[in-house]
Amino acid sequence: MGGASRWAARLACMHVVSALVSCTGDSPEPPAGKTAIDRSWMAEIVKNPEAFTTRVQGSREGWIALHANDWRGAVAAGGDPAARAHAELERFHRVLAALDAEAWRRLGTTWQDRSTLPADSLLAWFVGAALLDSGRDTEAAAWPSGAPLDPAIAARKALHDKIRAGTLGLASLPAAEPLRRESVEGGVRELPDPWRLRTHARVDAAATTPPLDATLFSGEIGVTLTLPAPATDGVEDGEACRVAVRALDVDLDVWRLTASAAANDDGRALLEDLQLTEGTRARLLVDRAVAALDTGRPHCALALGQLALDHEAPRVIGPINSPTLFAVVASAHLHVGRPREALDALDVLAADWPETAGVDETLNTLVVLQGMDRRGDSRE
Amino acid sequence: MTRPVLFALLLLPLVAHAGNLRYAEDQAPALLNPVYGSSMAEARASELLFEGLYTDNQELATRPSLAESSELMPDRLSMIVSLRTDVTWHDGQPFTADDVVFTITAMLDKASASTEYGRVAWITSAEALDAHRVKLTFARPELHPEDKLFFKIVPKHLFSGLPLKRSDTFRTKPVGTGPWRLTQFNEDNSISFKKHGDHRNATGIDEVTLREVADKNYQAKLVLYESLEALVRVLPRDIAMLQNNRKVELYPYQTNSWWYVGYNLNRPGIANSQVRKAISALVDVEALLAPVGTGARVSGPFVPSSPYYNHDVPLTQADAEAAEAAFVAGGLTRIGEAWTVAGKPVVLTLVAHQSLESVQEVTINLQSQLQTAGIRLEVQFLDDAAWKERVWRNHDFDLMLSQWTFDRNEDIREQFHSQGSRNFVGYKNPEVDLLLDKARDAADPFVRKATLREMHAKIAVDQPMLFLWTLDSYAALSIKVGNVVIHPFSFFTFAPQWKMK
Repeated sequence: MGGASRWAARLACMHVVSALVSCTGDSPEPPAGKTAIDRSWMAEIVKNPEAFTTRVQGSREGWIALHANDWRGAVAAGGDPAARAHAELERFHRVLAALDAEAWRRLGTTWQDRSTLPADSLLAWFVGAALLDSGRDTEAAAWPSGAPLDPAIAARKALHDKIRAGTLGLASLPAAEPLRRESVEGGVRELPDPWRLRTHARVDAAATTPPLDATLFSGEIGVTLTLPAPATDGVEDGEACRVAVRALDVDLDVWRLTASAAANDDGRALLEDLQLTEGTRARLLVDRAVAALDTGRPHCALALGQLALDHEAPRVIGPINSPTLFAVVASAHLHVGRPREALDALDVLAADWPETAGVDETLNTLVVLQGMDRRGDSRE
Repeated sequence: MTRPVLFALLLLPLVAHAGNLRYAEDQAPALLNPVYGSSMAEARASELLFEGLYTDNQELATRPSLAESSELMPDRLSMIVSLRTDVTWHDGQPFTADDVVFTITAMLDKASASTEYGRVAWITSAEALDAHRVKLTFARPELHPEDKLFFKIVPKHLFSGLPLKRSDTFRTKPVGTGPWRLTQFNEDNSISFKKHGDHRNATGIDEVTLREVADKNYQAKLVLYESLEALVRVLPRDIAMLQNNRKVELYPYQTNSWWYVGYNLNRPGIANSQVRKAISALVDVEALLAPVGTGARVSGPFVPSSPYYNHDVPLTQADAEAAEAAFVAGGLTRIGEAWTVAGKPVVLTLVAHQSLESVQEVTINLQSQLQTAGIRLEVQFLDDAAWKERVWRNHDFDLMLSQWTFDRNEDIREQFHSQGSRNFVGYKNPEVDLLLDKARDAADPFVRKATLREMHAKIAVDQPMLFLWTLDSYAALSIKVGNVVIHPFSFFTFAPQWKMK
């Protein structure tokens, strides 16, 4: 039985009810000398398992889903965790939208560098549209812009605008890609919708309300992960990020041992069943990886993402591996010049997140383009 | 000798010099001549020893290595490559244009039977203009020929001329220009390398040792006991142990690698597509994969995350009824429990390389599945020499279990084109040949992508192979090794920038 299942069973069995303390930030002042982790929601769960059980009982299905990084499940279940899940979805789609814009930019510039960017294609216009939509106006200025020439594209843009304004629901957005097909000698160019992921992010953002339980199952445990300053000369120290995580791991190892020794049986069981330290560590690293991406440190983001991954189940979304983790790893790979590896990360999302099909195809095309003149090697 | 004793022996060379990186291979390469490369172990060792005219930078974009610059002629049918003048071979001889011309000529030479022929087949001639300039002429106009000049260069002065032979003494006394030089093949099958003092780039690792650890069960433990600093591939069952150890870090890396059972289409019975279809329908691939590790099944000659993978092609499914119908359509008759041809039970020979990971688990399971369904399978595990002889040269097998690993170009032409040098199964489909040609010649990436997806679908129908799975790849490195960036194919391309603490 997996950890989440055991937890679900445990929730059903535990009857002790006591006052709310742990997860809402109104816990008693911790004794002096305690570490930040000792004051965190994670520690409170282990110390006061009954209170935790009481706290989550009202939205049990939602919390189980949130813990498993099943955000759509948490939204569907409603209750307190839904707002948190919307926030997670917004961040996930925001990372993907940024990845999509960067994939378009690289596809356009790589093709342009080969001096063969097809003049009869709207590909360049799509590059500009993706960059403009992601707020990269300066870079977008280098690409064609203006109102879409094709009525179908104009209609799609109008549809996005309405969805973002709340006039229409996300369900009105056609799921199928591509948005445009162009005939070319020997085949067809298929260009995916360049606005899709940002529209998802906007819709998720609109649904995000101040969460009642701000930190439960988050990476916020009061730990500061000191990472190297953003690169100014383009050279990043990814190794320093690994070293910082190693220091964090030492702290978490110590905390886990002492917390387990001090806890009662239920607290110890929750510590293990919820994979508390592993899951929280992963969430914390993903938080920092997103921040690293946002501040132009893709090597650091990549190191953090790789260290966050549950290597025992590297292709499974669960309490340790969140969808955002794979989006971050994909984006970091692209930013360090490894679009083929980005595809590997996106592949994990393909089945459950159909909106990633467009960015996946854009990256596919970029990878093919980069290898057009290469002669491959193969070994047994 | 018992396993614990073996393990103790493996631990003997415990004392590592500072700056020594020790890594494990299941089988040490017996041959280190890049003109005859065939295994990943050889590719990794070659990366330490040899260099090409061009190589990858960390963004996997082409950058000069032995080349300094190049000039492509306006007609794109030739180019002049200017070579670095500060390069010496490990034996102190200067690297010159003659070495480049010799290497290309040797690879093109049919009598030399280089496994790398396909990588230079687009070059029609190589001519030394002077000591440090080479003129290359091409069969067709080339847009970016430097992207194809990654093959390793060998020293002309250490060969007596053409044709080259696989058995040339160079295979065990390789001399390259790379950042490390070979010092010796050791009695325990390990290979020692030392920093090439004259190399233009400083490296943070003084010595590298390739240790043969045939029993993969011990490899992870050797890292934990600090008898190794690196594993190039971690067994799935060891991942948890390594993940929870603070002295080691796991590095996931993307390999375009897939397993398959190849059908020898030169054998009359197996050439019958119904028979192949029937055999494939007897195999429960998920059950074969389960004990091997985490990975994803594949329906064709690409990994699922590949731009060329056709997600509309279904995975094969075990289906006893479909297998029975296909056997009957293929002319087989069931007598008792066994499928027969002309009254004789069908007996197939499957060959597998003995160092293939988890090969025994997979073959025993496969044997059992087919046996239960009435097909007898005789399994032969081959060492490297026998494998080359039986599979590469003589194509002497009914079925073969193996895997292919590709660099990021995922160029499967050599495996599936009727003229492909690595088409061991004898697959011939004119339509597939045309699609491969079209993909190679395509100027538009959308066209290449769609063409190879179409080809994937055609190959899946023909079933020259039963495509099995791709596995997740992890390297494990001691935290004593810093600045680690792994090349997804050659592994050690960026090792000169690694630092030993």
